[in-house]
Amino acid sequence: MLFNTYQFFVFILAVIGIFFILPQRFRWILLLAASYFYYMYWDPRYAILIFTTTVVVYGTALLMEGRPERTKKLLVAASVIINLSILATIKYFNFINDSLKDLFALFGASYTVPAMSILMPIGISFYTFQALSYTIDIYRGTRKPERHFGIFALYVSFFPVLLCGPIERSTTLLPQFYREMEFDYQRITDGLKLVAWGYFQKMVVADRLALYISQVQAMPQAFSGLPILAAIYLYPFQVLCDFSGYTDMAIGVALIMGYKLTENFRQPFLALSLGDMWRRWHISLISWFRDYLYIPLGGNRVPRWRQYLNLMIIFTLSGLWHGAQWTFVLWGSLNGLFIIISRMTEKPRGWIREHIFRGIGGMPAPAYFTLAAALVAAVFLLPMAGIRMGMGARVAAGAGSLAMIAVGVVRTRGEVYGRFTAGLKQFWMMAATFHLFAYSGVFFGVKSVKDGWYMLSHAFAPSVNTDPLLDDTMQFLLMIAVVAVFMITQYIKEYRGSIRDLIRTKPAWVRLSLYCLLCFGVLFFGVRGAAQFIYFRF
Amino acid sequence: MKRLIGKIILIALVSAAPVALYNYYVDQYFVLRQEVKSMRVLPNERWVKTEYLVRNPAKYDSIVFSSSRGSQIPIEFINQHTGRRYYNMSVMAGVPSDYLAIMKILLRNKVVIKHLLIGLDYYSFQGATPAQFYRGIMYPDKQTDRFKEYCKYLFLPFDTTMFNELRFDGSDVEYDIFGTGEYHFVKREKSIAEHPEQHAARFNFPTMTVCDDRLARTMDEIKQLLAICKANGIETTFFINPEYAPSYYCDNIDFLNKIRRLFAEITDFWDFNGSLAVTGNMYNYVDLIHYRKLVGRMMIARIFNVPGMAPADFGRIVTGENITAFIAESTREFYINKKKIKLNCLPCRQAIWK
Repeated sequence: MLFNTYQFFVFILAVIGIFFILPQRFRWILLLAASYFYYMYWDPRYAILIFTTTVVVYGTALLMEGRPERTKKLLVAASVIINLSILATIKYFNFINDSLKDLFALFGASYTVPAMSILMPIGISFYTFQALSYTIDIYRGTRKPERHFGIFALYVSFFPVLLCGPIERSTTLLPQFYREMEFDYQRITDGLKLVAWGYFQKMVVADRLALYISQVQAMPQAFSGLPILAAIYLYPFQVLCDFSGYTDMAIGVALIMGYKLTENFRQPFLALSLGDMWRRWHISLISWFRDYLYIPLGGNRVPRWRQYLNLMIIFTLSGLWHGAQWTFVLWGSLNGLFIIISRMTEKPRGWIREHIFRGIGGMPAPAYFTLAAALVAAVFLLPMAGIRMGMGARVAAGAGSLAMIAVGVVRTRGEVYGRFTAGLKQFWMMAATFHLFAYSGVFFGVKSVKDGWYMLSHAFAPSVNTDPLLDDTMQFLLMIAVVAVFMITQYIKEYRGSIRDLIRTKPAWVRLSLYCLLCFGVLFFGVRGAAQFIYFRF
Repeated sequence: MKRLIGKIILIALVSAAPVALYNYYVDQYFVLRQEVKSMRVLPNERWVKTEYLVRNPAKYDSIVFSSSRGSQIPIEFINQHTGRRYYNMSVMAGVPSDYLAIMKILLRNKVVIKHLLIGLDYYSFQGATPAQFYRGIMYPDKQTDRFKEYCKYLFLPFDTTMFNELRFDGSDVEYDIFGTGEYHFVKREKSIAEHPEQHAARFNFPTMTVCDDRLARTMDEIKQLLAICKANGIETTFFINPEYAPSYYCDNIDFLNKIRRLFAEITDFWDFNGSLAVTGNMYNYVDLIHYRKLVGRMMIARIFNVPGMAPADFGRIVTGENITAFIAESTREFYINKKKIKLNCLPCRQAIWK
């Protein structure tokens, strides 16, 4: 029962309807039943695992209360080991087994442990991490153990966050289940708007991009050059809109009922560095790793080399968390490596950047006009000197000269020019960050490291098989348009604040038209067929 | 509460109305209005052609079933040599499960059928019907199902492929959907005649093959189809469409042989693959997938024994008796020819429709 199916629509309508009819004291029963029904709808056997996790975490937390430090340590270790063992067996056994088999084969030895045919429950990584955070919080004394088993079971299985997060902390979510939730028109409409926007991101942006990208990722060897390059640049938008779309739907559904969930994305593609990007991307997971692993490992209080090692551990594990494949490990490690390099080179890069932009800023306006004239002259003079210029070079020279003239004109106005260079610097930093993320993201989407390497090594080769990209011009334009619309909203959110609040200030007819337009967009431009969310497989 | 519900209904109506209007006007899959002038791109043939036969139960007495390749089987030519009235029931990516489903509907609606000419592809044993696509939805026999499906077509999302596809409104392709059921690649045929040198560009792609095995299920469907035909006194002739040689030689011969052996146990069939004189010549093909009408004519000439119209080695009848010899011969030929032609095979992939 995906969020983008009719079944879910009926389910949520029923749950919300009954929720507001029931008195507060019975609502947890409804939500718990709904959550288990929702989870068991995929496969009833899933319930056994989530129930086991719930019982183990609930029990160890209660046992920890008032015990000496040593006993608490043993109990928290037991809870963590049991939960991670379940996760490791189910999610990673075959991965480790296959890797060992490859390793043995490398040395010509035989390895005969058979693969396990096991049920891989969706969302297991999410609820396991959510449950673990509770255990560790109890051990640290951040919160008291929850005595109500039903409410605790609801915390672990709360259906909006069950499959794809956000990974909620007990300190924020658990107390909300005790709060009386009134029927609040404003809050409900806010929730509905978020759900609609989530659908837009998922169906209009992510699934539309997927129509093209999945063709390339499924068989990269059939392509070369431009089609691969386009897939590399578009894929980050697909993943972001897919996951962020789900998160917005989850947050919206919970908000309708009155529960506030954690923000999971904060305009990641407007980040100015990779470190900044990882503070904006999948916030609930990264903050989980920060609080429960990075800081206990020493955080920033240890020597530099240890910080780098810790970062590498965190990012490699984060990659592994996403999936039991070497591609994810490589993706995580690459991001860790980029952040380490970025930290190591922070000072020289800053120095170079300042000097380049100061250098550009220091040039007088006539210098730009001279450069523009030189470019135009080159177009006419080089052919006279017998040097041939292709159409591409001529167009580039023309565009370059126009840009120089524009910069020169802006340069004559000091204040505007200051803003312009600052903007240019910011844009450069965003673009560099995005590129690092996009190129490492190649390994996130492909089936094997070999396919990922093929994509990277053939991205700038001569183009082969451009049909899926360029033959359907309308689809190509639509892909660009939906990404542009999405990025405009990201820009507004970053620099102007909440779009919801902005719209709220407009007249009723404008608001209504905008909501109709959003719904029309989903209905008309959305890709139907209930494509699964990328993060469900984690 | 009332205010909220009112607003939701208003927004839903205002946003859904333009979608319904668009679909009614465009009627992309030719289901809602079925006005010939509204046909723009390849329609949902499973729906339109079945409905057409159901509404005209006695207009024809025989049917050609096939994937889109079979659309190039010339109906007039068969009628001329058999004296029957055939309808070309070829459908996009058609597989035996489609033919079985359509046959059940036709027989329930008392459509007259004396003979079936059933064209299969080796892909028929690997992939299923593309029912998840709006173009692949089967004609719903029940009134209630039909209403449900009409609603689906009324609220379809915008599909960009319709701007990119071959035009079936006569400019690229002429579709005689309410006549013989076959279509004619007008633009491509013209292009081959006028600019034969440009034709090679259509074949300059690596060949993708499918590695799924749907053999047992497909065989079961063929058996069911045969049983239905036998029970209703309908004669059948099976054939396997001739694939363009570079595609055929990228396939896994062991799997092809497995298909042939099992298929021959059930029924006799014509196999038109392997003759390089026909299948190795790109001028016999409109594109990588579809052969031209002239090939369709040769196939019919071979099946219905019209002399002097096809090379002798084009098409062999395979029976339970000659299957072992046929497999040995075609395997030998497969490896010899594979060396002769330039191949660009990609590793096999999962079928898109399973």
